Amino acid sequence: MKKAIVSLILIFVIIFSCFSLASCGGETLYLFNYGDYISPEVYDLFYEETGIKVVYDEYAAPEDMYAKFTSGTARYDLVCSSDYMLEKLIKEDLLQEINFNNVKNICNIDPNQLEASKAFDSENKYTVPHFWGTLGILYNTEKVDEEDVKSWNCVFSDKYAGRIIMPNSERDAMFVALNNLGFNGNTTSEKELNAAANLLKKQKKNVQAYLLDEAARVKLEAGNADIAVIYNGEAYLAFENNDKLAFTIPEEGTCMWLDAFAIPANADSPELAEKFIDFLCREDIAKINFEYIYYSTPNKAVVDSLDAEILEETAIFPNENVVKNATVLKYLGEEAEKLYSKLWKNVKA
Amino acid sequence: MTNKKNLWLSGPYLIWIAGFIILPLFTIVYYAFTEKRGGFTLENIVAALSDTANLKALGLTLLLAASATLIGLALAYPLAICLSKLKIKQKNFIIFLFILPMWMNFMLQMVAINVILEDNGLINSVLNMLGLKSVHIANTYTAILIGMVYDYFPFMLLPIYNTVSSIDKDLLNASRDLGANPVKTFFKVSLPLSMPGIISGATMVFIPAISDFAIAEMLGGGKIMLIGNVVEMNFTKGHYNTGSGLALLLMVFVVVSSLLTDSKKEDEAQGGIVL
Repeated sequence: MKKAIVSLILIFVIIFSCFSLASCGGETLYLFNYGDYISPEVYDLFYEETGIKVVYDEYAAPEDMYAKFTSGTARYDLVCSSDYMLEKLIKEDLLQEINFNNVKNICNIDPNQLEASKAFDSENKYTVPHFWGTLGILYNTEKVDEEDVKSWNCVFSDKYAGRIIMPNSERDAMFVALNNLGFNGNTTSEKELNAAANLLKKQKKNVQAYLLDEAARVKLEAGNADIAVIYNGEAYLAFENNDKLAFTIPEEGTCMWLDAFAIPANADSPELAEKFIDFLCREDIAKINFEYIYYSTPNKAVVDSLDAEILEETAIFPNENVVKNATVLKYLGEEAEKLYSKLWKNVKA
Repeated sequence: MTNKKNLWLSGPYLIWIAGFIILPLFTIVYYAFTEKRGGFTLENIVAALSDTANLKALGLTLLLAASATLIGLALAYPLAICLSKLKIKQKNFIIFLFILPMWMNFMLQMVAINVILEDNGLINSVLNMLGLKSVHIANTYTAILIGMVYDYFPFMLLPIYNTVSSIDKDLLNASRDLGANPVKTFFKVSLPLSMPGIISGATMVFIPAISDFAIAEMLGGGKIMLIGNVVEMNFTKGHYNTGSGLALLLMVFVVVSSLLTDSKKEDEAQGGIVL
């Protein structure tokens, strides 16, 4: 009997200590972001300067973010996501306008990037750019013919069967197929989307794995695959780990993505979020993030401070022509979205 | 003290069950039979059954889970017989060795298996060193099967070992005295007596294996979708109703297979669960 009472008491102590641990401390900012997209150092610096603790959740694909964001189980003060997903959130009234009086450092952001953001945030009212980049091909120069990677065809031919990594993200994978068939990456035509999905299905036997970002990069670094369709930002890190790797953007053109911060309409403390956005736009902080991820930064102050050598690295800063011809992925509406999910499931099953 | 007096001790666990097992189950059932706005519908179940991608995933899942169970059994049964003949001290140590991997984080186990199976991995390096051709296992059905057999092996071994080692030696001797050869003794005496262990082992492998999605995710390279992956995909993308319909369908398979094995077990008296 005594033992039972003691163990019951212990159980309660444990339960209560869990609750109290979770609620201690001062002001807290709840952030929802892609995995590993801000240097951990930045959170510490922010806490030191402002006393605000950043609690963050991470997600892998924009669709996952949307599901959790709209499920109502968690409330965030700040989210970071991509172009078409942000457009969807804006259209559904799920974001609130940012008070730019509290984000003075917005002046560091390249006006060209703000212009490009208008593709999804037409008046630059809801979002502040974080990073941007393009989809391209990372390849092993010893195994892959340089001529081949000039076209997306290389991932659809049998030549590199079993050595290809495709992105595990429906919009990106479909973009490559659509582009290869000569269709627009933002098409909603059922016929064109079906054709692209069929192409991906046919390609599947040659694909070694569908992976994103780091997981794809690591495969190439270790020599387990030779071609990966991947975001340019991963390429620079890949070079550092394996000097036989190279990155290129096929001549047919590519898609460009822009990731940005936005404040949910139901945020508890938008002013904390604005403070954090302002902090992220500050030159020194943006530089820490840039050097952590090596994706193209929209922060002009950082870009201006970089060595010429890094600026010439096309894996980080794609040249102007590529950017000009790149497609920015747009939100396609609920119907097309459903079709995308269905087609993608069929490709993978 | 009688059993009744102690019943309140299960209180904390009953609260746990209510909150984390019963409530979620009802939520799944609710979602499965409703549409997005909350009205009653059978569409989720119909959609789950009529989509060829789902059926393909389901078929593949049953096939892989059954293969993992059979391979596990083929590995575990002879081993259990060997183990039962060892001295107690050795026995405990060897069993400990088989349980040891369970102490390791699941993700690490899978990452390690992947490193071993990879095109430039351990297996292929050894093959190349011996001058043999590389084999391509990573991101195939075989990789997932290996992962399943590895992960669930202790659950197969322990129940079988328990029943095998509790078989009365006198029965085996009697069989021999009555003129049965070793093969006949095995099929007429040992095997029937170890059935309860085999059945609980098979249940404990087959049932978690059909609902598994993590092994396929980590060893399949995103190329292979088991029914668990389809459910997971639906939930992470926010299609709770379709996902629940599928989950319910999967549950039917789980319940049917455990009912099948349960009715057998009762005939055979006590099973050999040790975990």
